[in-house]
Parts: sequence; structure tokens; C-alpha cells
Amino acid sequence: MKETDSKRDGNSTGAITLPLVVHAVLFMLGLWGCLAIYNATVYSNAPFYLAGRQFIWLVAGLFAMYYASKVEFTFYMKYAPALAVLIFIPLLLVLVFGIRLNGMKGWFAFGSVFIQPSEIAKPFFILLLCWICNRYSSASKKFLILSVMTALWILPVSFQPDFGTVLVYVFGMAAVYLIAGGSYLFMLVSVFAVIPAGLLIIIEKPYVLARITGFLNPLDDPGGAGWHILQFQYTLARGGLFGASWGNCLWANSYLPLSYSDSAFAALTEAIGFVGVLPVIFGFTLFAYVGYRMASRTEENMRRIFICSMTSMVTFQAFVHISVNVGLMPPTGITLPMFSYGGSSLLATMIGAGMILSAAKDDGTHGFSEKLCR
Amino acid sequence: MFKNRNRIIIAVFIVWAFVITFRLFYYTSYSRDYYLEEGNKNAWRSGTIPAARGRILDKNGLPLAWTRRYHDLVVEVYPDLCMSNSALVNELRGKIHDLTPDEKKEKYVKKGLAPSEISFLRDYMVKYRGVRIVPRLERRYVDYPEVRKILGKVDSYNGGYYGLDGAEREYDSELNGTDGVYVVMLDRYRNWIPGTWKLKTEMLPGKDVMLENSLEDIISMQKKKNEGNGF
Repeated sequence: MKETDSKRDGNSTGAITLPLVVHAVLFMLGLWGCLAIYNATVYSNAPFYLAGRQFIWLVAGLFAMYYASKVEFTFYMKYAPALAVLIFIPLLLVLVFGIRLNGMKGWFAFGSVFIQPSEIAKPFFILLLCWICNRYSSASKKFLILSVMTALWILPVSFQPDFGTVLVYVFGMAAVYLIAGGSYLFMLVSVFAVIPAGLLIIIEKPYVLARITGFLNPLDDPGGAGWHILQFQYTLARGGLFGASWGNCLWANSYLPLSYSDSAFAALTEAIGFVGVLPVIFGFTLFAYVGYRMASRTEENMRRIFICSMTSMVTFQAFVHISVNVGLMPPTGITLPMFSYGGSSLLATMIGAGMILSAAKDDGTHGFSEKLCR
Repeated sequence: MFKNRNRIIIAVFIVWAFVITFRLFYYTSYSRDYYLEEGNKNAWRSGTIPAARGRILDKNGLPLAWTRRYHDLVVEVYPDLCMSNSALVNELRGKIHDLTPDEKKEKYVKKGLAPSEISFLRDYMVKYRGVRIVPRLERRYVDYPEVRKILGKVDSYNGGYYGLDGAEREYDSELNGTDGVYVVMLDRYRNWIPGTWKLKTEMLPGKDVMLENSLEDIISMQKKKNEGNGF
């Protein structure tokens, strides 16, 4: 009887269940993140301050993941638009009532606690897109509505301005559309359509061009545009195979900008080296793979689109961050999920993971989905 | 269709993970030495600690010339580097008297800080860029014009002094000490990074020189000399 249940749920691989792997991977990445933040702030007056806060967020995130996974996915499916509206309102309000940190007006301050609505919104944004995809079967209609909806969501975020998050949202939309059976042609056309917009941004925001030129030729302007790239290279080199000694991240503490956030991966590499950070790359790949396995074993359309898109979005964000840190991409300002300091990001990732686990509990009846797709 | 597309996505991520891993290996192992050397070359700077020049004493051991160490406060206000320092200067001017701008108004200087002021400024140096306490050596002499002629003059070079004439020149090699050498890491704005300062060569102060005459003898000899010259 047990075997039948687990086979139907699609969540078991022998003795180790996929939800267990998700829990373990996220918890380990979260703990690793606390250590990275400690190392990145070890020379400050209070090295345990940010790491301690992150640990508290991690514990809160575990509870959030647990409760998000306990909610039936039919609830998320039914109330996806309402939840999206509820989450979208703070994205607008933060432009008026929010506070500015690191040049972005994207946080609500409640005493010493800062909440970033654009992070919290990520899983609900994906949920909304999945809900849309589930309602419309025509590829063109799907594409049009998804594009409009994505534009609507990225507009307030780009006013903050937080282009890193905008990039993640756009990828989220592309992932949902691709997985939901969207047309390759539309995607290709939209890539070409994005080029003029990209050029406009480069013209309007000179720092974007500076980042690109700094990435291509960092030694041309080592103290300016190339600074970030060069410091990544030196920090990684200092880490070596096994890392500079623990708590001795001189480069991360002195040269890396936002080493506990935008440069978290490089900071950790300095502390524990190539061998130490390999499990991080493996962990995110495993997370994507587990999502792929869960989605493959789930029969209901919206559930599997959500599982696959959500895991893809988290993995995409992580790999973009790591790629920036190892000099494969120009600096984007994207944080590393579960790692970089920030309770909102951690909480959103955990809630998203909880929703993935909820979606993976496919009871096989598909009753609700059929009603939606009639 | 779903399974195929799902497979494409997971394949992309796996390939991406491999590319990242190879790139990481390149920096942390394959080309590590080159990047370490480059990083160190840009980050570390060496500097000298000027040796305090020895004293010139009369035959009774009374100091006629000596070196005094002062500490000056320098606050940089380059607009592109230290924008917040303009507000800081206003704050400091309320607490540190005589903090005055230089000609170009690129920095504010207060010469000869009192020990209590140095202690007060410690937190500011940690918190703000461009706030420095710079040590300075100054050669001082007894206030007798007759004696000054015998003692001679010094000129400054690299924060230290060398004798131009008189006893300062005659005993220059004895009075001069050995400058110390230190290395320190500098941040992007060329400020010292706390905790990175290392002493490479110990500073050895110059030796004291004792003249054959007393202060009174020198004064009377000079007076006689002046009278003989018809002054």
C-alpha cells in the first residue's frame, strides 16, 4: 500500500524521498550561506550580527516552507489571481512608502526588519503565470497575456530600480512559457525585440555600458569599471583549492563590494576554496534535478509547470550570481538564493520550495484542473 | 512535449554547472599564481617610518636641538570619493578646533593633535574613508640665536631631515637614524585597511651627539665673535 502511494505521489527514489532531498539541500545551502555571511563580515565590529540574523531567517524559512507545503496546491490554483493581486500591491506601495538601500527604493522598514516585496513576490508571480498558461491553450494568446502580465510586474520593480530582479522575472516568464509548450518562434522574436530595449537601457544608463566594458576589458579601467571583475579574480585565486584559513577572508572583507550579498559566492570561495564551494554548485544543480524529477512524475499540467518553473527560476538566479562571481558574466547585482544576506529572498525561496512540495503531492484526481481548463 | 522541454532545461543547467566549475578551477588552481601576484601587486603598498633625528646636547647634557613628533588630522573631501565627508567635516569642526581647509579645499587639516583628540578620532577613522592621522617630525632648537648659528639648519626629505650646515651637517651621519619600512593593504580609495599593517624593517632613531662646549660657552664665544666682527 505504501509503495503504491509513493509511486502515485511521484516523490520517492528508493529510501530517499524527493521532498527530503529538497529539505536537506535547502537547509544545507542556508547554513552554508550563514557561514559565508560570517566570513564576509568577519573583520567588522559585529561579525555574528548579519550571520545570526540570517540564521533566524533560515529557521523562519523552514517553518514557512513546512506550512507552504502543507497547504493543498488546489488552494494555490484556486486563489492564484487573488494571491498575485495581494502580493502585487506592496510592489506599488514600496515606491511610495519604501526606504532606499544601496540605491534602490525597494524595502519596507519595520524597526530593524526590512522586507523586500519584489523578492517575496517571486513564487506568486510564477504561480500567476502558471495559472494563465493553464487557462489558455493557444500559444499566441498565452504569449501575449504572459508578456503583458510580466511587463506589469516588472514595471514597479524597474522603477526601484532593481534590474537584477527584473532579469529574474523575465527569465521566470520565459521558463513558464517554454515549459507550458510555448512557441519557439515567439521566443526567438521576443529575444530580437528585447535588443532595442537593451540598447536603450545602455544609452540611458551609462553605468550599464561601463559594466559591460569593464567585464570585457577589466584592466582598461582597473580602479573603475573593471574593479569588480578584477577583485572577483583575485578573491577566487586567494581561495585556491582549499581556501584561505577560516575567518581570514581579507579580500572579501576589504575589496569585494557587498561581499555578504552580491559577491557572496566569491567570499565563500576565499574562505573554503574550490573544494569547499563545489557542493554549492552541486546543491543547486541537484535542486534543479529534483524539480525535474518531481515535475516528470506529476501528471497535472499546472502543478508540473509550476514545479519546473520555480526550480528553474531559483537555479537560474543562483547560476547567474555564481557566473558573475567567476567572471563569466558582467556584474548584475543578483543575489545568491539561500546564501546572500536578506530575509526576504530566503523566505521567498523557502515559500517557493514549500509550494513546489505541495504541487508535487499530485493526488491524481485532477478534478480542479479539469474544471479550470474546461 | 513537456518532458522534452523539461529535459532541455535540466540539460542546460547541468552544462552551465560544468562551465562554472571549470571556470572556478581556472582561477583557484590553474592560473592561481598569476592572479595572486597581480592582486598583491595592486593591494600592497610599502612605506617608510622616518627615523627621529638624534639630539644635539651641550657638554652638560642639555638638549640644544631635538626632534618632536606631532600628529596631524587630515580629512579628504574629494567629491567623487568622499561625498559624505563634507558633512563629516562640519561635524568634526564642531569638535576639533582649527580644522582648516587647504588652498584647493580638497582636504582639511588640523596640525598637532592633542592625545585626547587622537583618542576621540579613532572611531571616525574606522567608520569614514579619507580620515587620517598623519605623523610628522619637527626639528626644534633652543631659543638662542647665537647657538642656532653653531647648530646649523636642516631640510626635510621624505618625512625625515638632513643637515644643511653647522653641527647638523657635521654630525649628520650620527644624527640620522635608519628609516623603518612597513607594508599595508590599501582599499579602493587608497586608505589603509585595518589589521593589514606589517612592519618589515625596524626604525632605528638617530644617535645623540654631545658638543664639547656648554650652552653658556657657546653663547659667550658667539658674542665675542660678533664683537670681533664689529657688530
